[in-house]
Amino acid sequence: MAMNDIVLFRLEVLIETLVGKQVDVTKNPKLGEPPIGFDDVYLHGVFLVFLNENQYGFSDILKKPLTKNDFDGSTKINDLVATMLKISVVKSVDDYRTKMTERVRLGLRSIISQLASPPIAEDRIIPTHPLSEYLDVHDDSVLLKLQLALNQGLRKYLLTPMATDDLSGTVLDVQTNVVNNTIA
Amino acid sequence: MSPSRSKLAVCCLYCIGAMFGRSPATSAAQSTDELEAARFRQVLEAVGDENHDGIIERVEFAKFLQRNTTNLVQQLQQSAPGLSVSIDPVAFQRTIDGIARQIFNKVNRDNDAGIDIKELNQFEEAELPWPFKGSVKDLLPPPPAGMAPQEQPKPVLDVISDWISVRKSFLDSKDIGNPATFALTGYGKDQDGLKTGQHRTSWQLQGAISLQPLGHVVTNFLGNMTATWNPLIVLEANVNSDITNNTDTIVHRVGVEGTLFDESTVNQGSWSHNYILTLDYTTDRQYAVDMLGGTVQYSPDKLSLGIGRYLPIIEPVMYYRWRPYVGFTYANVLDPAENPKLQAFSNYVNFFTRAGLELAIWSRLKITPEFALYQELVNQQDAHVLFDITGRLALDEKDRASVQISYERGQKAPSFQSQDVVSFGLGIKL
Repeated sequence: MAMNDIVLFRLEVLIETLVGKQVDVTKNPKLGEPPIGFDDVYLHGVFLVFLNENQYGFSDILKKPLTKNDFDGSTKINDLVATMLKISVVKSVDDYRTKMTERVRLGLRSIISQLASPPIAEDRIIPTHPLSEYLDVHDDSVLLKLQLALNQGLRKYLLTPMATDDLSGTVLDVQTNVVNNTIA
Repeated sequence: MSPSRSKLAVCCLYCIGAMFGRSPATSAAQSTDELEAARFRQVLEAVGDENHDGIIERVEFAKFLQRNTTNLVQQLQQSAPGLSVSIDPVAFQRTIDGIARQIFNKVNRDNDAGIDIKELNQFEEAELPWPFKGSVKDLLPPPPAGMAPQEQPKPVLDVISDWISVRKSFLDSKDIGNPATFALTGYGKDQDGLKTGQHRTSWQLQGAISLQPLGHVVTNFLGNMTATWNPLIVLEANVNSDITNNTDTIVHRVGVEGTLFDESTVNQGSWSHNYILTLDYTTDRQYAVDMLGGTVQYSPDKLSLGIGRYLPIIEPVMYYRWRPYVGFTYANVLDPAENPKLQAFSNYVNFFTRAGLELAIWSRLKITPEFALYQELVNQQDAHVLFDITGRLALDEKDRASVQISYERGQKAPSFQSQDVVSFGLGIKL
């Protein structure tokens, strides 16, 4: 998947989060027309803040925040993607993969440390060790918790949600599976 | 025909085609491939392809970095006059080699002998660590004119609209976004209220120009709230050629607008809150009237109710969105001039509530009814109603030019003179 497709997907996640239901952006709609259909008050208020923040936004890849001069209701979503890529620190999918690897490594380590019973310190989790060393992977409820935590915590990055089948092997194997799901 | 007042307005179309279009295509005779090849030859020459194998090897790149450190050493020595700066050449060479290796590991993804043309872009963009600044590109000669990728400049109107907004009215400028209008009006023979000698043809201009400097975001405001604020400078005009009917209004506003919301609940379709606070100086076209005051306006967002976002009526043909407002306007009438309505009081406070609906049909046809209720809180304490409906057909993709027909009836603030107007016109919106 190309970098602009990844950013477009993440924009779709943000819009769906704000709207509370699925929005198809594949036909390159304008931000102010259906199926997105935000008016400029909303675009330059709530939407702009969310674009620039961390929870669902793009602060992880933007060199500087977007401003209301960068878009309005007549801007097509692909033009907004192009504007973001122009001021992005990430220029290629390889760069993005590097960034995601680090993001997922930290996220996964944090989730495993919290799910472990008893909880363990994050720096005790070794990537090359099997996941079963830290979590009871034979307990379906533990796997489900891990799956949910990953899918929620990394929602804005995951192009496809994680399946429980992806959660086996070493910690590094799981990390690789998650990273792959953020790229393709 | 009933003796009700009516106006028929006819408007000229005005459109600057070039402004709406894209910038002229680049005169590029050279293809992108040729430009890249030429740039790679230039970079190869600058770095120094000692063995003439047509790629940039790590050793060659390290030597190139070494050559570019001379200035850095001089700068270091100049920055500490009086101190003897000595550099261990072996340690320094090791540092430079390390930087070259670091850049190569990042850029030379195919792990072959060196950087080739496919990796040129990443090579140029690679960030250099201390003691360098910037990227590799900053150490290289700039590409000759015509070789650098030419970004298409923004169309003039896009640049203007980045900073200036042009609408029919400032207070409802962004949602239903009716455009500024210019209309020529012909009064029919049944038109009441024409004064002796008054022309039967007149012009009318309704518009607001706002300057929009960049805004600011404040997080953790009042607990978990996020607040934004943008400074505003606005000139709003509702003027016509008939200066005898006291309906001219020019408002100058300075203030802030912004949004307040709770980030943690936004994905649950929560409300967010938009505000406008302005100080107003209101006058007429001749600047004879003087009124100083202010306006406070509030409008919420609630996407699931269609406030701020289109919802379907008949998908994919017809959609609606709307926006309610409430607010107060205060003014101290310093000089009412010849306006008899304003002479009746020294100041006023009006409460208003408005709602604007936008029906979009096939995206270019918009029907926008607006309803406003004003309540005078001092003086006569009367209530006034204003209704407006506009049908508008966008002429360009960005809805900057449109033809429109509108009907307005009721009493308009601040003097609450009765209006009953049908107009055809051209709308301009930026």
